[in-house]
Amino acid sequence: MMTILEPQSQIDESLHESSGSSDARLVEAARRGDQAAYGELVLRYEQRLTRVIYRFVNNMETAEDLAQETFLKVYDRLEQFDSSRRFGPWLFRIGVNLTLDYLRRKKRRGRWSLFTDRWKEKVPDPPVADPRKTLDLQQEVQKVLQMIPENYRTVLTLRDLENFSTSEIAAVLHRKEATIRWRLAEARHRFQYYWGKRHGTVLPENFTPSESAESEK
Amino acid sequence: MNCKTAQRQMALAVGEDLSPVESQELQSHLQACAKCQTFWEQLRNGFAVLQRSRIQEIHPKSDSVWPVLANRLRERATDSPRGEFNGWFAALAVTSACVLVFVFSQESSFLIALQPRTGSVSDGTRVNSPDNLREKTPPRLRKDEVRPDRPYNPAP
Repeated sequence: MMTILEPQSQIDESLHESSGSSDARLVEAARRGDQAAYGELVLRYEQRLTRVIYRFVNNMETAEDLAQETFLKVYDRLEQFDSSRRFGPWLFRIGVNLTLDYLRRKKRRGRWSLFTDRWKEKVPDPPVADPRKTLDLQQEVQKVLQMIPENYRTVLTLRDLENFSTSEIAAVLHRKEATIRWRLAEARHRFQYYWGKRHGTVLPENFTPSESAESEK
Repeated sequence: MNCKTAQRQMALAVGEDLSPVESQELQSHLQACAKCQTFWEQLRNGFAVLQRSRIQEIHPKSDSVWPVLANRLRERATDSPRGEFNGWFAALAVTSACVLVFVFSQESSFLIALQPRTGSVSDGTRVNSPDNLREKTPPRLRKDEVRPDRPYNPAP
């Protein structure tokens, strides 16, 4: 067993410039067909990538599958990689996008199955006095995070749960750092707002999350 | 700094994402604004919840994904020529089908065009067309009406 929470220095290691130069060398070797070099890149990033994906999907098996798919996709696109940039953010961008696509597909499938299963006989859920009491903190947080729009939730997850810096998130999501900071502030507001609503915390009268927040930026 | 700006800055300050200068400005505002102080406390509580939820036990991956991945890459490398052939074969089959459909549709329209048109036969014979048939069909007779081509033979 291990804990996800790690010291900041250890967490940022995989994205820092110190590993950047050797990453570039490995990428070059992998492009020339050296699979062992690519294997070294995989070993270097797989734990971190799987953990980041897990934050989005909350299922270790799915996270590992998606990490594997990410590495396959990255291998196919090695020719497109700009060697003047860092490999880490590029890899995480592909991984996060793949994960978000997976979640969108899953959501669509969920909607469709709701539509198609409506004539089937539904077994009633077992009676629970208050289901919320059975959920632990992690599940509660996940429920609140699901209430936040995807573009804010992604930034919040990467910053507050995975400790990426705002500049790293900007590189991963291919956005300006100012945009990331703006989304981060909005995401924290929204988290506080929905958490407060869910747990009966009194909020200041003048605050509600801005509905057209993204269009303002 | 107004309260709206302060609230946005607070959301960044709570995760130490503000510059020292911005933090200083925010501090000054907070000292003077009771409403924003309340908001700051609530934001801190929310952020603390997120931080607590980060600590979570998970089962670490026992093995690296690389051996499986390396196998998949090798398999793809050996499969690719056949896959390429299959792709070309499928493309060829679809194209052939399209060409056949096109040829048959053209041919049938050509045959229709070749068929003699109504009333325009050069040898003088008229071709049965719905219009001609309508002409030849005797008009419907009422029960008591006499057919001109048959002798009148009323029933006794």
